[in-house]
Amino acid sequence: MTLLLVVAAACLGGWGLVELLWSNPTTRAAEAWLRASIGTLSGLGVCSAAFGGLLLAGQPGSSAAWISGFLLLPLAAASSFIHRLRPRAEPQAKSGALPLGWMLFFCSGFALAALLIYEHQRALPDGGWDAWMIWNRRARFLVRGTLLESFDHHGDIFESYPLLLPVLIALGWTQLKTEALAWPAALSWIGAALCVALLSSAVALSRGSRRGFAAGLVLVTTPQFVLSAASQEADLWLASFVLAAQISLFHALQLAGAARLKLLVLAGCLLGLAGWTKNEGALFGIAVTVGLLWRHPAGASVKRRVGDALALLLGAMPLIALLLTFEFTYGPANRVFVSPETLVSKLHRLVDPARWVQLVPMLLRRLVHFQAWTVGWVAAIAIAIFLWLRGTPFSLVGPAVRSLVLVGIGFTLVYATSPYDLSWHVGHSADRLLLQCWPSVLFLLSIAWPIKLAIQSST
Amino acid sequence: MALLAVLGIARASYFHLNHPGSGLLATGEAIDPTYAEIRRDLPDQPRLGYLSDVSPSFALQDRYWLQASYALVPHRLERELSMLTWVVARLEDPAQLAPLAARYHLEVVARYQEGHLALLRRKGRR
Repeated sequence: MTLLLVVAAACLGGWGLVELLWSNPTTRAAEAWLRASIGTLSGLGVCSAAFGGLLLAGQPGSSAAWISGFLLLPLAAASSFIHRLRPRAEPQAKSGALPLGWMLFFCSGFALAALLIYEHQRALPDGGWDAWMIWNRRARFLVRGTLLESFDHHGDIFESYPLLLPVLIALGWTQLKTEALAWPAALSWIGAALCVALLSSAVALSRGSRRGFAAGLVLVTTPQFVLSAASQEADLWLASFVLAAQISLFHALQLAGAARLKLLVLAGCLLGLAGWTKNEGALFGIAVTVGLLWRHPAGASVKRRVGDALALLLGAMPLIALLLTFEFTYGPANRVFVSPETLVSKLHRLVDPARWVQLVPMLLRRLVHFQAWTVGWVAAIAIAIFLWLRGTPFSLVGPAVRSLVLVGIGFTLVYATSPYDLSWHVGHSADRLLLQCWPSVLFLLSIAWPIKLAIQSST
Repeated sequence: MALLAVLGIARASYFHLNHPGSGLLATGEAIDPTYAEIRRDLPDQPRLGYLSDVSPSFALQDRYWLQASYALVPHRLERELSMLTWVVARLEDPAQLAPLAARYHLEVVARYQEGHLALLRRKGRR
């Protein structure tokens, strides 16, 4: 009961935060769903960050759980008060009912994914390897021992991972007063459901409900989606934070003035939470910032681009401070970047042609397979190239597209300089990295496609 | 839309039915019940030694080591035994316990799971 209370307070607070930063009143159901999804996601994320921050500051777990859960709740009250002062927006007329067949296709895909996740979780009561060896183990240290004890300092590859998921699990166990395996399993369901809800509602809001459900269907029937959710991995949480940030960015770039900056602050906060989830999240944050600053002939002025990037950084600042505190006080160095070998060895690997001959086919193979059969990424890349060649204007989605390209380059460079056996490193991580980008790719493609159609009709 | 749905559902089903698993945990196997008894008997020491007759060269493929590390939190397991008084042994073949204990100058304090799991102590230390 107390866990439900803390989670409800956190979600409500997250909703309040989103409502304060998303200035215009809601006029469509899809927009209400979208804001509720981003609110729930950011509420849980901020709750985790606050709990982690309080633990870092030496606060006992039981009181930290209550404080972190209710931290954002005043924002919900403030948001509710401000909404009462605003003039009510007229609800928009529905653009047409969704055909029953579409709904059935989506529901059957969703039901199958849910069934497979359930079946997989029943077969693996402790979750997948990631769950028991990284996230739940770290959460056990937080509950049974101390924060310091949760880091081995033995050069383990996972020791430098940030704490979003372990802290959420530990918060639940603290409130439940038992280490129920059902709680991390429930969190994995919540993370997966939020990812689908974000994608479907965001696409539905901008391009209609048919396209929204189609995008959601493609996501839920991606084998890696099912596997990641069932195995209680953190990659879908990261994917959700990145997607929510990309959605906020997309809407921000359509606005001007304070409304634009407030949405960019929200996008920054979500990217900060992505960094609190996994190390790759920091790369996404840097890539989006560079993507915003990147000069484009049809883009905004330098002043505006710098202003946008600063707003993004402002939103991420509390999370950056938390991450830096974590990294410099407890988090051991990541061996991918700080290994006993010298920088010269890394540079040697980077310019070694034989390594690239080995790496490039490996990455292409992962792009093609992405767990099963040749669809998905290959189709997505083909569609993106097609849209680009046909002259689709990418001004609104440009920063997001550029950021994903930069992330791809970043991942490739990490593999190229990795101290680990290349086939092991790529084989065990490439599909996860592709999954982290996959919902954002589906969102951007769903958004970009009608822009092209609109241009054709106007010429 | 129909094509997307059929293709997606077929891919998800195909992958699920053919997924080989990690090999680190048998289907339906829960980790904690195996270690429940020994957890109750562990001394109040943050660091414990770890011993096994199965030691793959790559630590991330060592399922016994990984499972024990997870189940025995907040105790930290270490493979270097020389400085540690208490040691946990996880064995594929229980008959290997006595020779392993003798090699590392350890005495068996208790056996669990039909000898597949044991708690040992360095000889001459309390």
